[in-house]
Amino acid sequence: MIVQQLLNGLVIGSVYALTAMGATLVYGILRILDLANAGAYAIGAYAGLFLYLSTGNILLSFAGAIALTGFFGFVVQRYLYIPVLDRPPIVPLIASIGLFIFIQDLLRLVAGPRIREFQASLPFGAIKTETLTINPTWILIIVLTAALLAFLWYLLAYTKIGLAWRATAQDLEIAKAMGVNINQVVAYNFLLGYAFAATAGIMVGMLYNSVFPTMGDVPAYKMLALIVLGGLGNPVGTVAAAVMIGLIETLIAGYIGFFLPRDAIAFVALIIILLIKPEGLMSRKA
Amino acid sequence: MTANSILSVRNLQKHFGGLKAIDTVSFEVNKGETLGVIGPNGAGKTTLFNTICGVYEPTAGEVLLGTQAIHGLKPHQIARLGVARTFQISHPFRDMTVLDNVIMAMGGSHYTGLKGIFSISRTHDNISKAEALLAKLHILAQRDKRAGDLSLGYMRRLEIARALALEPKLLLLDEPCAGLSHDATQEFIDIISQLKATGTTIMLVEHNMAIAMTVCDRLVVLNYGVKIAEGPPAAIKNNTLVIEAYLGRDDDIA
Repeated sequence: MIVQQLLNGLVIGSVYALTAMGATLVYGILRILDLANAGAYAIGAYAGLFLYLSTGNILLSFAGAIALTGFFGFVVQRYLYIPVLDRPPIVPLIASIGLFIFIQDLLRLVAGPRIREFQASLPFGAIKTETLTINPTWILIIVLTAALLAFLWYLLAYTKIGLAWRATAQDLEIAKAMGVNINQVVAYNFLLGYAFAATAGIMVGMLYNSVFPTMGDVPAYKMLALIVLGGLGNPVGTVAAAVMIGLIETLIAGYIGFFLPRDAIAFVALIIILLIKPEGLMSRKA
Repeated sequence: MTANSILSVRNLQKHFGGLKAIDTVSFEVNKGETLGVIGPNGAGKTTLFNTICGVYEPTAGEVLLGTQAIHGLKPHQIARLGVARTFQISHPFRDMTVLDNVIMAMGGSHYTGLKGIFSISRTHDNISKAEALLAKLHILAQRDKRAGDLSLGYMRRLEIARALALEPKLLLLDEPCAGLSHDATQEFIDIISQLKATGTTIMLVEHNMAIAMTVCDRLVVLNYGVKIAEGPPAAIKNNTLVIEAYLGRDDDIA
C-alpha cells in the first residue's frame, strides 16, 4: 500500500515537474512568468488525442504533439515575448495571461467544451506483483519524465548551449558581450519548454482519461507556486519541489483522507513551506 | 585609415535626448598598440565603449573593424567578429566554475546552427585552451572554484581570460584597475604589459592618469563627450586643454 501511494505521488510529481520545467527555464533566462506554458499543456493534450484518434499510433501521437507544441512555443516567443522584452515585467506577464485565455477559448471553439476521453493502449502491459499494480500509464509517465529530465540535465551540464543558457540566466548583458545570441537561446528554451509541457499534457490526459479546454488551469497555478518553491528559475529546485508536492498531496489524500480536495492540499502545503522557507527550497546564493 | 588600423571610429555620436554623451569623436586603434581613453568622470568613456560594442546604437557616425562596418550590429555579433570587452564592475558568471566561464566564451561559431545544441562544452581541446588562458592570467590554480568566490583582482583576471577566449582582434578593458589595491594594480600593469608583448591590441578606458601614462602607447582624451586631445602620453601630459579638463574646475575631480 505504501509503495503504491509513493509511486502514485511520484507519478503526480513527475507531471508537475514537466509542466513547470518550461516556465522555470523561461523565468531563469528572461525573468518572465510564462503562464501560457500551461496553455501549451492543454494544446499538447488535444494534439496528442487527435493524432491518436486519427492514427491509432501512440508513438506518432507523442511525436506529433511535441513537435507541434514546440513549434508553437517558438512562434510565441518570437512574436509575443521578444517584442515586449524591453518593457516592464508586468507587460509580458499580462501578455502571457492573455495568451493563456486565448488558447483555452481557441480549444473550446475548435474542439468543443466537453470533456473528451483519452483511452490509449500502450505497447506494454502493467507490472503486477502480489501487493502492487503499476499500470502502463504510470510506467510511461515515470520513464518518459526521467528521460526528458535526463536529456535536459545533459544539455545544461555538458553542452555549449547549456553553458550559454546558464550564462544568460546569470547575466544577460554579459552573455551577449561574450558572443551569445540571446534570441537563439530563448528560442531553444521555448521550443523545449513547450515540448515538455505538451508531453505532460498528453500523459495527464491519458492518466485521468480526460482532455478538456481548461485542463491547464490548476497546473498553471501549481506551476507558479512550484517555480517559487524551487528557487525561482532553478531547474533542480523545481524538480525537487514538484516531486515533494506530488508526494505530499498523494499521501495526505490517501492516508489521512483530508476534508479538502487534493489540489487544495497541495496549495496548503505550498503555503506552509513558503512560510518556513520563503526563499524557496534551493535559492541561488547571491 | 592607415593600413594597420584595427578599429576606426569616424564622427561617432551618441545622444541621449538632449545630452551629447559622445559628440563627433574620431580616432583609430592600430594593430598591436595599446590605446588609452582617458578623461574626467562623465566624459563619455564607458558610453564610447558601449557604443562600439553595440550595447547602444550610435546616433550618427561609423565604427569599422578592419574594413567591415560594425555599427548597428548586435553585441553578440560584434563579439564574434572579434571585439571582446571587460566591464568596469566585474561580472563573472558567478555560479559557474572559473573554467566554465572561459569555455563558455570560446568559439562563437559553436553557438550557431543546429550543431551548436549538441556540441560538448568540456572537450579535451576546449579544456586545454581554457587552461592556457587561465595560466596566462596566472589564475590556473583557481580553475575549479566557483567564480563568485574569487577576490576582485582574480575576477578581473578571469574577465580578461574570458574575453581572450573569444580570440579577439581587439580587447577593450574598462577601468581594469578600479578598486584594486596598490599591489594588485601593479600586478595588473604587469599583466597588461605581458598581453602587449604577445601582440594583443588593446583599448583601455582609464580614469587614473598615472596608470594610463604607464601602459598606453597613445592616448585619446575625452571631456564632455568631445575629443580634446590625442597623442603619446608625454605630449598629453603637457597639453593645456587636458590639464584644464582634469584640474581646471573643482567639480571635475572625482
